[in-house]
Amino acid sequence: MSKLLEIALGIVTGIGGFLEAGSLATAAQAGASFGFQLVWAIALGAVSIAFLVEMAGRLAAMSHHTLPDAMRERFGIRFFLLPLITVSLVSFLVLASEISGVCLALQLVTGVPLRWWALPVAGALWFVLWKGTFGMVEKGASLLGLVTLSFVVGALKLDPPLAEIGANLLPSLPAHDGAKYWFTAVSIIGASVSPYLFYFYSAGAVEDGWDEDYIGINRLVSGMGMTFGGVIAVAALVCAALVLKPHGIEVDRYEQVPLLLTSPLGRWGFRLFVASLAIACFGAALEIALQLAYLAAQGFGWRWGENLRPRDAARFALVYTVGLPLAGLVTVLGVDPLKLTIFSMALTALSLPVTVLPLLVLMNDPLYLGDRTNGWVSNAAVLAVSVLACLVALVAIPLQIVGN
Amino acid sequence: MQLGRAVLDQQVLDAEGRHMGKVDGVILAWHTGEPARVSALVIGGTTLLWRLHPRLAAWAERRRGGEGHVTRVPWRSVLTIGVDVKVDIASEPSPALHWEHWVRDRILRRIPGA
Amino acid sequence: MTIAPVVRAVLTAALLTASAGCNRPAEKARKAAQTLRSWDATLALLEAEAARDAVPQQYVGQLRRAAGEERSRALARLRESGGP
Repeated sequence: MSKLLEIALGIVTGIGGFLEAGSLATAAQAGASFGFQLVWAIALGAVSIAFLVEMAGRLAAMSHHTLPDAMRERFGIRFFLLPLITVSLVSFLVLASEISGVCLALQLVTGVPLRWWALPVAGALWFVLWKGTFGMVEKGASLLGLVTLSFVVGALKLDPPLAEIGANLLPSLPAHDGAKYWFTAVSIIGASVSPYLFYFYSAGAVEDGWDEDYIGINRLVSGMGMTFGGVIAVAALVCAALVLKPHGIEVDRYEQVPLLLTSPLGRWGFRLFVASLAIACFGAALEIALQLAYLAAQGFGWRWGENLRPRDAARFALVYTVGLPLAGLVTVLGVDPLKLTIFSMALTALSLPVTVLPLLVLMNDPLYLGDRTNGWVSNAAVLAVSVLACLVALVAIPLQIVGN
Repeated sequence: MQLGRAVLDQQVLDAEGRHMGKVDGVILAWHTGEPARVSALVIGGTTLLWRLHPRLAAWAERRRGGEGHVTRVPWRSVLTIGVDVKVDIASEPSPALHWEHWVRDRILRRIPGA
Repeated sequence: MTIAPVVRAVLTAALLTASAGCNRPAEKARKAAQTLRSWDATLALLEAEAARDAVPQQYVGQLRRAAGEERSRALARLRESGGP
C-alpha cells in the first residue's frame, strides 16, 4: 500500500474511532449545562491524546516493543504491576460503559430494555475478536465509525456561532455550579485521554510491523486523526449547547441525547444517532477488550496477536473471552449507563499519572528510542495535563459524589 | 552487561522465533576465585512471585508442592540478547508453555472455532 | 509512599468543602427544582419533535418513562429538603 494511502487510512481511522460513549456523554452534558464554555477541555484532551498516541507509535516503531512489553522490561515486575492493575481496572469500567452504550442504542431502536442486550452484545463482540483479524477490527470499526460525522452535519445545520465557539478554546471560569463544571471538565479529559487508546495504538504499530520509516507517518496520523476526531466531539457539544441549553435541559439520562440530532436532522437524525452510538461504542469495546488482552499477554510474555488463531494464543484469547461477559454483567446488574460512563471517565482522569508516567519515562530512554527521545515540550505538556487532571479529579469527584 | 537491564524481564523467543515467556529470573553460579557467571535464565513457575514478595512465593510453593512449571534455559543456549532474548530451545516440549497449553486444551478446546 | 499524606490532605479538604457547601437543604432543594424544570422542558421538546414526526413512537414512550423516573426522584429530594 502506498504511504499516502496508509496516511489517509490512518487519519480516517483516528477520526472514525474518536467518538465513543465517554466523549459523547461528556460532550452532551457539557453543552447542555455550560454551553460552549467547555470547548477548551475537548481541545486540551484531543491535543493530549494526540501527543500520547504519537509517543506510543514512536516507541513501537523505534524499539519494536509494545508499551506493556517495554514497561515490564524497563521497570521490572514490581513497578509494572501498579500501572498494569490500574489500567486494567479503568479499562474494564470503560469497556462496561461502551457495552452499555451499544445496549442503549439497541433499546432506543427496539424498545427492549438495555439489560437484555448486554450479554448478546458481549457475545457479538467476542465473536468478532474470536474470528476476526487485527486489520478487520481496527479499520472496520473505525471506518464504520465515520457515521459519527453526523454530529458535525447536525451542528452545522444549527447555524453555530463559530467565533464564539472559537473564543472558548481558551479556558474560562464557570459562572455557576463550579463543582459540576470542573467535574465535567475532568471527565472530558478522561474521555479523550483514555489509556486504552495509546496502549492499543502501540500494539497496532507492532502488529503492522512499523519501523523507523514510519515516524513521519505516525506523527501525521496521530496528530490529524485525533485533532479532527476532537472536532466531532466539539460538534456534539455544540449540538447540545444549541438544542438543549436554550430550554434549560440538563442531560441526566442517555435517553435525552438523541434530541441532539433529531432537532437539526429530523427522523434521519434519530437514525444517524442510533447508528453512531451503536457503531462507535461497539468499535471502542472491541479495541478495549483487545487492549486488556494485550496488556496481560505482553506484560507476562504470553503468545499474543489478533491475527493468530485463538488456539495459538490461548491465554491472550482467554483474557477477552472472560473479560467481555464480565463487562456485560455490569449492565445486566442494572448500573445506569450514563452514570457508569461519566464516572469511568472521571476515574480515567484520576488515574492518568499512573498510566501516563511509565510511557513518559520510556520516551526519554535512548535505549528504546535511540535518538528520537522526547523533546522537553512534549514531556512538559503531557506531564502537566496528567498531573493537573488528577489533582482536579481528586477534588471534583468527591464533591460530585457528595453533591448527588 | 547490566543483567537487570539487558536480560531480566525481557521477552524470550524460542528456536522458531515465537514467544516463549519472559525472563522471570536469572541463576548465577560462583566458583571460587572466579567472578559470578550467569548459568541459566529462568522462565515461569514461582520465580516471579519471589521477586514480588518472598511470603507470596513461599505460600504458592506450599500449595503446589514445589516451584511449579519452571523452565531453565542454560546460558549456552542463549543465542542473542537485543530487543528480545533469542534462545536455541524449542518451546513446545519445555514447561514454559504449560499454562498456555492447559488453557488451550482445558478451556478453549470446548469453544468452537478455536 | 510519600504522596499518601498529600492525598489524604487534599481529600479531607475536598470533603470538608463538600459538606460545607452541598449538603445544605437549600442547595439540595434548588438542584431538585432545577432537575424538575429540566425534565419539564425535555418533555416539551419531545412533544415538539413528536409533532413533526422526528422521533418514533416507541422512543417517545421510553423518554417519557425516563422522565417519569427522574421527576419522581427529584420530587422525593425536594420533599426531603423541605422545599415548596
